[in-house]
Amino acid sequence: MNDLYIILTASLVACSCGLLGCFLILRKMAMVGDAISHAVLPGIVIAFLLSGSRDSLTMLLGAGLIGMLTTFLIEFLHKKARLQTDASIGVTFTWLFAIGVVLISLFAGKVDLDQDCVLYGEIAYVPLDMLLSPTGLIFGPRALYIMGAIFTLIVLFIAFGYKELLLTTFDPAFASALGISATFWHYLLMGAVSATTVASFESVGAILVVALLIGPAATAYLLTDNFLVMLVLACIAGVLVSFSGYYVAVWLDGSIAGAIAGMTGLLFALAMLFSPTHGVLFKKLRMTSNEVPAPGPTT
Amino acid sequence: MQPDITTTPALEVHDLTVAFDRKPVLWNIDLKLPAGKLIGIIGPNGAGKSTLIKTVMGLLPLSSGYVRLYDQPIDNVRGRISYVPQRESVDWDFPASVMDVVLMGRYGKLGLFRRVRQADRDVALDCLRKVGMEAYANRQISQLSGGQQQRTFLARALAQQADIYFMDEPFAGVDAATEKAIIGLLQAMTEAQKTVIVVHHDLQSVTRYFDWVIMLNTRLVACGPTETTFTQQNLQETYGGKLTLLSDVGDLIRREHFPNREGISKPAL
Repeated sequence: MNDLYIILTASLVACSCGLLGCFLILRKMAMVGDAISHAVLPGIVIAFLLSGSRDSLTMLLGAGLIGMLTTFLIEFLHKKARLQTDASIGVTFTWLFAIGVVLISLFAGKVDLDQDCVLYGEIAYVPLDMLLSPTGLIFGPRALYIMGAIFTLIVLFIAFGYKELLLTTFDPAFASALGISATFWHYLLMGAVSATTVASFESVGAILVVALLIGPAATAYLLTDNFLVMLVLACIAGVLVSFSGYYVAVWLDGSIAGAIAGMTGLLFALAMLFSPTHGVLFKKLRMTSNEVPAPGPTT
Repeated sequence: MQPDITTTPALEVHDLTVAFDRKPVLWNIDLKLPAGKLIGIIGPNGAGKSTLIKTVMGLLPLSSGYVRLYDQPIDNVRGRISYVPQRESVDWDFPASVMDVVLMGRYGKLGLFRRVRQADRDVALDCLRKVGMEAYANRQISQLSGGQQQRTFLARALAQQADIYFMDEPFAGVDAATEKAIIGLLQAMTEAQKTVIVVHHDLQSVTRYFDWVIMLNTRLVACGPTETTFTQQNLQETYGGKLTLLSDVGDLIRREHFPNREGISKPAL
């Protein structure tokens, strides 16, 4: 049963991240996901200090706000200070992350948080934190419920905003000309990324969220030319790496989150080699079959 | 009562100034454009041609002045305007088919939460037919040539079923056949009382293509019917200082002063 809880939670994290990752990589903003996942650290700490509880909703709010602030700062530095996007991402998230680290070390005694937990997470603890009814009935792991809610929200968000998200991703100027605010949808998407990152950090850790944000989406990108199919494939890839990652970790007796991220990389490598459309192997095959026989030496 | 489309200007720009970092890109632009004309915007690089149409559509903030379309503020008439951005402004490796892109032209009419219906697909296919791309509806956009990409963008704009069209360099990097097909289509559209405003680079084709010209170099040099506005004096004022170009312009005027219009026939579309 515990195996199932862990795999299910990991799959939900991977699917949520995979869906959002599709938009991020097509907007050439994959590293914004990276930035948000790190920058929410001070948000988590501040929310904890203010409320004094590790209640997920408080943390989600605090981190969500900081996530939006991160996006806003990146845009601001890029537009007003005329810094390149990658430089403004780098400045913003390292700075916010550092504040988080300082805050944790300052209040180390009072805070039941440490860098290890935030950075690496521990998905093996998922079955330990059960949701209980007042009468003592066990409903299942808390993390499973949180991720289930997040995943449902993201699916609804994409289902209802599909047109707008697609258009603002492909051609923001045209979207604005139609009266669809590219900025509004940008911030909605970033809000969703923040919420997902925070909800996932307890289980897989801040660093590994990045692997799941980018890996499955990048794998799906290589396998299809249709955006809807890409979203579905990203989810399938997410579930695949969760299953295989878990069993690899059990077999090696190592970190589950690490193994999942490792499998994400492996799956991507496989897609890169064997994808029917973009794969290195097929491209090579096509090239050799199209090759015109070399003309003989002209004498 | 519907205001008479022939007397209300399609576009009115009053005292428009646009500045980036306090450096004016457009300065004190005043113009009125009639409906049902094919209008070219010409001027040297950096003259603010793209900025002008982006500002008119509300994509860029204006420092002063106002813009009115059909005597109304832009947000009241979004459904009547259409935009063809520069081809390079999007990522053509995006996982989408030609049909997906053309359908995006319907999104404005659909509004939030509503899905694309069969009627929208029919409109999109019809627009693809007009630009001669119906055979490519299911083609992946990364497999298109430059001319086909431009036709796809044009079909998307047509799918908006607008009254006024803003096009940012639709002829940049397209083959001669596509250019001819596009200009034929645009002329057919203006005959149906649509207004088409095109950012254009090639001075040689101005007299053949456009009914009206806007000559721009940060300030508005001239705006009016091509025959009376596209003169050597205005050209020198627009491109002045660019000496290498100036002699070309002189040649051009000599050659183009009495344009031969007999050779132009509209392709059936």
